[in-house]
Amino acid sequence: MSAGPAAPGGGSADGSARGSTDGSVIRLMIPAELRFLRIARLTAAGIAGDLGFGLQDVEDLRVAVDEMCAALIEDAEPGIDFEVAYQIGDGRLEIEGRCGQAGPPPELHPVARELLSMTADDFSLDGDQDGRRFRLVKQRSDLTV
Amino acid sequence: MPELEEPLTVEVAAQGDEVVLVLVGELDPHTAPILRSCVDDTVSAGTTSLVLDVAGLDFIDSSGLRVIIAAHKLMDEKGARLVLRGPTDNTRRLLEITGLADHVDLA
Repeated sequence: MSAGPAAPGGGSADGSARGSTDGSVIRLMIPAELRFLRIARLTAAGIAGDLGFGLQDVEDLRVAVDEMCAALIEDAEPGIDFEVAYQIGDGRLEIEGRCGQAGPPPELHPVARELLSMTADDFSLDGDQDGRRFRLVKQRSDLTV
Repeated sequence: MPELEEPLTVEVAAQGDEVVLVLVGELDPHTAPILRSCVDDTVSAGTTSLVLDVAGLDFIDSSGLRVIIAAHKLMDEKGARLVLRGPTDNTRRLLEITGLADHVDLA
């Protein structure tokens, strides 16, 4: 796992020192295998906890990350790598996944879509001959107007 | 590569006509087949009452919920009963989001 700044940081959402990490990106590279899903969930939960996300937000994020990652790698061929990038924003986490498995965007099961609609603020799936990708946004609900 | 710690355990306990599956750990696409297999075995054995003790579940996603939905359908078709025992607040929330809480007995 690696971390580094992606863009100049903005101000802190709650005035704490946490704002100094805005714009940072933490990258996780794991094999595209379902048994490693929990690593992606744990990483998301750890980052969100550090950023002051509430317990319910963290739980929602674990579900949302799991659903998106699972959709991307469920039928991935052996040996393919899977990268998850967690970008820290102002009171929010933007997570992007990228898998080398070529093909159209995977279809979400209706139950997965239902869960995502309640646990994520925004999500999308994409795919082509270069691979599959997802984007997921989770905002701190205590900062949402 | 060394084996990772098993993220889900399922203990089977028979109590009279009732079979209880005690789940501890995480229920996701990697582990859901373990539960599905246990449910299939239990239903095939003719159980009339199946309890899924989910109090020890630290995580559940749509793949886990789908196993529960399938178990509910299987039991319903046989005129048997499925009960979810001890769901955590998070599990209960997901059951409610998906409407499953309206169809499965919660205890």
